[in-house]
Amino acid sequence: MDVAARGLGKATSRSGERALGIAALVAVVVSATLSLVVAPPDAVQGEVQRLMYVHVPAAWLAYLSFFAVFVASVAYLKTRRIRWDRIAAASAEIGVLFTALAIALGALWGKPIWGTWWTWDPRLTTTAMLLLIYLAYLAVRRVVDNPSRRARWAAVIGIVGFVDVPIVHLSVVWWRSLHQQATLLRIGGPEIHGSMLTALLVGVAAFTLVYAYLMTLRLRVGRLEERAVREALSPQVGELEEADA
Amino acid sequence: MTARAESFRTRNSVPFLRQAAAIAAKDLRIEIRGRHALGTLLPFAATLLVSFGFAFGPGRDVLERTAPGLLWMAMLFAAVMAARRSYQAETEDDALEGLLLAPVDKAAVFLGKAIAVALELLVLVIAVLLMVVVLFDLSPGNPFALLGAFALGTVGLAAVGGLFGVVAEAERTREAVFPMLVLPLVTPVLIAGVRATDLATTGQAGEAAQWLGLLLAFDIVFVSVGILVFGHLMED
Amino acid sequence: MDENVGYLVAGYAITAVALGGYVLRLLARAREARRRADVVASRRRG
Repeated sequence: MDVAARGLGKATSRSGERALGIAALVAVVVSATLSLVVAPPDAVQGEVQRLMYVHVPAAWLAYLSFFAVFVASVAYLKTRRIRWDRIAAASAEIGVLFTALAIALGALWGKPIWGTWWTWDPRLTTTAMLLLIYLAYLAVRRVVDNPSRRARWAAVIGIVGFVDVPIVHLSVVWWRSLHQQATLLRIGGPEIHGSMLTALLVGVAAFTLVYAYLMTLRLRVGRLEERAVREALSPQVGELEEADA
Repeated sequence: MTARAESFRTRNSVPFLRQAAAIAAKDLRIEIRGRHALGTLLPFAATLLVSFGFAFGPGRDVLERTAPGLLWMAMLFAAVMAARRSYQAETEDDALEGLLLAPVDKAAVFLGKAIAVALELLVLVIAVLLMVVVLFDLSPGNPFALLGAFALGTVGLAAVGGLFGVVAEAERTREAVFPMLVLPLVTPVLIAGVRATDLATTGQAGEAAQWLGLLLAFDIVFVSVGILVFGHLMED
Repeated sequence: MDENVGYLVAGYAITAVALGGYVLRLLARAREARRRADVVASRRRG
C-alpha cells in the first residue's frame, strides 16, 4: 500500500514536473517578447533599459529563494523532518544562481548607464552580501558529513543569515547615503506605467514559474542522489529508508 | 518557546546568567593562563596594521583617512581568531563532550563564550587604537563615543563568532569556511563601527549616535537569536 | 544609445545560458545518479 502510494506520488510528480517545465518555458518566451519587442525603449536610457525585465525578476527570486530557505530551516528545526532540509538545500542552490545572475545583470546594466561595473548601489550591494551568505551556507553543507548535523547547522545559518540581511541592507543604505546617488531603477520618472509595468510583472511571474520548476527538478535530483549513496552503502536498508520523512 | 523559557529557570538550581558567567570565567581563566590575546592576537594586529601601512602608504593623508577602517578590519580578523580559539580549547581535550553532557543550558555556553570573547576583543581594541593613533596619526577624539563604538562592536563580533565557533571545529572543516561565514554577517558592525569611529575622531561625535544605535540593534538581535538557536548547533 | 545594445544582448544571453545550463546540469545529475544506483544494483544481482 505504502509502496503504491509512493510510486503514485513519483509518477504524478514526474509528469507534473514536465508540465511545470513547459509552463515555465512558455512564460519565459512570452516575457521575453514583451520585454524585447512590446515594451517601448526608455526615453533616457534607451534599449539597454530592457535589462530591467530580467534583472529585477532575478533579484526578486534571489530574495524569495532565501526566504524559502529561511522558512524551510525553521520548519526543519521545529519538526526535524528531513524533507525540510532537502527543500532548504535545493532553494539555496537555486538561490545562488538567481543571485549571481541578478548581480551580473546589474553590472551589465550599470556599465553603460553609470560608466562603471560596480557603484556600491545599496540594493546591489546587499544582494552581493546575500550571495556571500548563500555561498557560506552551501560551503558548510559540503563540509559536514553527518546528515543530521549538516541539516541542523545549515538550518541555523539559513535562519541567522536571513535575519541579518535587513540589518546589512540598512547599514549599507545609511553608508551610501553619505554619497547621494540615484539607483538604476529610476527610469523616466518615479513610476513606471503601462506596457513597461506589464512586462516587468510578466517577467516576475515567468521567473517564479522557473523557480518552481527548478525546485521540483532539483528535489528529484536530490532524491536520486541520496538513493545512489544509500544503494552504494547498503542496498536493503536503502529501500526501507526511502520514505520522504 | 515556552519550553526554552522554562529551561532557563527550572533546568537546574543554578540560574541561567550565573551559568553563563561561570563559563565566561572559565574561558577567561584559560585565556589569562594561555595569553592568547596578548601573545597571538596583539602581534597579529600589529603586523596587520604595519602591513596596511606598507600597502596604502607612505602618504600620511591616505593612512589617516583610512585609519578607522584599518582598525576595524584588524578587529574583524582578530574576532575570527579569538572565536576559533575559544572553541579550539574545548575540542583539544574533548572538553566539548563534557560541556554537552553537563547539566548546563546550551544557551548559557553561547552567552558565556561570547562574553569572554567580547572582553578579550575589548582589551585588544584599546591596544589596536593606540597603535593606530601612533602609526596613522589618528587623533583620539571623543572617548565616550569611541568606547561606545568599541563596546558595542566587540559584543556584535563576539556574538556572531561565539555562535558559529562550533562550526570552525567541525570534522572536515576547511580553514576558510568559518571566516567565510562570519565576515559577511558582521558587515553592519564593520560599517557602523568605522563610521562611528571616524565621526568620533574628527570632532563629529554627536552624529555617531545613529551608528551606535545600529550597533546596539545588531547586538540585541544577534545575542537573542544566538540564545535561541545555539542549542541546535551543539547537539550530537 | 544603440551602442549599448551589446550589453542588452549579453544580459539576455547570460540569462538564457544560466537558466538553461542549470536545467541541463540537473538533468545530467539525475541521469548520473540513476546510473550509479543501477550499477550497484546490477553488481549485487550479478
